[in-house]
Amino acid sequence: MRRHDGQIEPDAADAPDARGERGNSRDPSTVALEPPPPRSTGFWPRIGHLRRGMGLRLLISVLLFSSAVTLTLTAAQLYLEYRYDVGQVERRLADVAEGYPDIIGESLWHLDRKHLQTEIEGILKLPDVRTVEVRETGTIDPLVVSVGQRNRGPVLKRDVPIIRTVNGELKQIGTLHVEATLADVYQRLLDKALIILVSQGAKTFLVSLFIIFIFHRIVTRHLVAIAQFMRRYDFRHPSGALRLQRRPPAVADELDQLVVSFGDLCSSLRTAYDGLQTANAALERDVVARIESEKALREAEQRFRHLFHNMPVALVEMRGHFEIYHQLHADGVTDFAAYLDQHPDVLQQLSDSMTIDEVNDRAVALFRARDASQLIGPGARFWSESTGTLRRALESRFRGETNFEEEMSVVTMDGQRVDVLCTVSRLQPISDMSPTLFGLVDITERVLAREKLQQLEADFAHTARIFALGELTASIAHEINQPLAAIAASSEASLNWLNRPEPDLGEARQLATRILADAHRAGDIIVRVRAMAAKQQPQRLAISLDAVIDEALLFLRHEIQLSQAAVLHRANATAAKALADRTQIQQVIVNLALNALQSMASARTRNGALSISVTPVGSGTLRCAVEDNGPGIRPEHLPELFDSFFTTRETGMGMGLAVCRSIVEAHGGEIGADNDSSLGGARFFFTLPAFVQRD
Amino acid sequence: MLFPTCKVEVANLELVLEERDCCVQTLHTVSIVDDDEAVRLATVSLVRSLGWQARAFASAEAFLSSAHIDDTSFLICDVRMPGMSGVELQARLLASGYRLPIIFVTAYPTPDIQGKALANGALAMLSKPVEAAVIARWIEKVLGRP
Repeated sequence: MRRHDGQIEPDAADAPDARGERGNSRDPSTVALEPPPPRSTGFWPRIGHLRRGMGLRLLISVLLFSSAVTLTLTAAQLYLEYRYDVGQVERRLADVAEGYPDIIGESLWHLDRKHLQTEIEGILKLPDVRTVEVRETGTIDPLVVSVGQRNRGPVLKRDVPIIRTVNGELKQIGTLHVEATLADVYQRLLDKALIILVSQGAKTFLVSLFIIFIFHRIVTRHLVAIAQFMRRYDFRHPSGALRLQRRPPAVADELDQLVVSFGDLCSSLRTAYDGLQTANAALERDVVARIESEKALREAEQRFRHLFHNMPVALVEMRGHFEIYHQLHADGVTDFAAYLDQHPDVLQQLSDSMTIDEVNDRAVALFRARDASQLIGPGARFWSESTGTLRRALESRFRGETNFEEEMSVVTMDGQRVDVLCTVSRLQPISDMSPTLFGLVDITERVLAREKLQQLEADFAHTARIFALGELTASIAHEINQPLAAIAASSEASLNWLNRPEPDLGEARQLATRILADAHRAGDIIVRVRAMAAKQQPQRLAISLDAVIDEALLFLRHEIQLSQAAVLHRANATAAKALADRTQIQQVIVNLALNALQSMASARTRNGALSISVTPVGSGTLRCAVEDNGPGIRPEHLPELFDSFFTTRETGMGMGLAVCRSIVEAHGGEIGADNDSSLGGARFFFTLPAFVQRD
Repeated sequence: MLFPTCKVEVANLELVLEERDCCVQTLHTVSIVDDDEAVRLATVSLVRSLGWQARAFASAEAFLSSAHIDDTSFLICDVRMPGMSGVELQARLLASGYRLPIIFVTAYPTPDIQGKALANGALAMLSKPVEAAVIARWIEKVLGRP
């Protein structure tokens, strides 16, 4: 800030620096309000500053106002003066009208022109009176005496009748005409007005200048100082407090308040700036963190892509439209399987809605495709060989499960069937369009190995059956012997009847019928034994466990008769069928029942009882229990009961229960034993998957 | 037939033959006890075709509780049956004072059972299937010709 003899001007050298220093940080509105300071120095800048500053406006305002007031007052004064002057003239005319008619009447009556002349000249000497005329009235050739000259311009006229008593009565004998000019009045007024205006104008101008000076001293220069201070003020680097270049007044005035307010403003600006700095720093940290996390996300995405494409597992990314699920959940549908039964087209729709978005190299190899593009597209072909798996996968999704796994088959591009283990994993939360990842592992080898294992197990079971048949040889022989014995006896008897002198054909015929039935009975037994002994591939069919139990009991008929045990088997007509191999399950039941009979026999159990029952466990499992009222299983034997070569009998090989376990487990069931039989002895039980109609 | 039992058979035969003389006037009835219906009916037919009266019983208990022990002249009995076995039936009859001529038929002759049966006076223990001629001979030996 610099002081210039009462005039303040912006520092021409400082201003550009200040502008340059602030640069673009300046508020554009400030720029608009504040024109750039002049670059030149000297007088004109001052004028320019004056023109820009408040001084000129103040000067003009004061001048205009003073002039207006002066003019108004002058006008009022002149008007009053005018009124007064005109009143004077009129009063003079009135005096003439008052005092002169009598004298003039006398002279006129006598027609004394000389007198008349003298008298009206006396009137003419009165100020402002310019024309006086006396005119006789009532005669044909009136006497007219006039002095002065008629003049143009504003005049006051007065005609006064001259009245004289003639013959006792009042009579107008003439007229006195007086004219007074106003030109003098006007001239005086004009002079006066000029004087007033000149003096007032000079005074007003001086006073105005003085006011400007005072205003500048007291206010403007400080405002400029404040403005300059503010212009240079940088809230980032505050350069001391604002101080006014003056003696502090006794009582703080408006400028002091302004300085205090500005100080407050600066400090709050500083606080706000600090806050802003803090917020900015936080924001910057956030931005950095966000950039970092985005980078991490991108890296994760890249890693995922890398993994996806380089995993040694075939991966398929699929999408489908599952909006229907919302509706079904909203409708309270919980059993999606039942719903699919009722709406067979839904399965097709869902299958059609699926698309394969992405596959990795392994998947391309697995499907023997040329490249990924050959696989990307409609996903329905994925399920062509395994609609059951599709269905169960959809049910699993409906239950909101993240994972699902099942073995299935897919068809390669060259039409070959490949067994795969399909692992489905869904992104949480499971939404309509979130992709589902399918991992496919070629398990053809595993399936082959499993088939080989199953073959071995089947062979093992077969061997065990042959062994069991060996154990049952006595019974089987007895079973076959019985019908054979009957056949032999019947044939002999028949021959006897026929060889009589009078052959009894009726008896012979009856016997032949019986022989036939007995032969069938023997044949049936042989068929059963052959079935037991046959080495055939296990087949999973829907079989009635009750029928298998009945057949097994036929096998054991002789054993049961010998043991004299009561056999309880109540067929459950409503029980579901089991999905199992008939011969193998029969083998299990025969084995368990035989064990029970032998156990009761060896313990010499009186009134032995054997119960075989089938009960459903849940919806998909059947449980068969073989119970007896024998001595039960010794607790120390329970853990190793189903191990190979475990036996408590001297003649046993210890393979029976091991084979039972192998058979049941190959069927996906469980086998167990305890002493909780309702009959009081041992209880053996095994489970099998129930045959479900669908799929 | 097994050799060790032959001697006993002959002794028993003499005993039976003595009895036959006193009962020659009565109509001889052969009772058959066998749990296997086919075998039972076939045996009954055979006996009848040989000219004897025949009566069938499905178990030892049924025979013992029937009123036909007294008019039974000859008993053909199975050994292994549910409930009372043939050998037990024989012991019961002896205990009750009946000395009926008995032949046992069995699918599984064992030395123990055979020994016990013959010791108790059984005529023979035959293996199934039994030839009709053998049965006929034994009945004729005891009861003569019909």
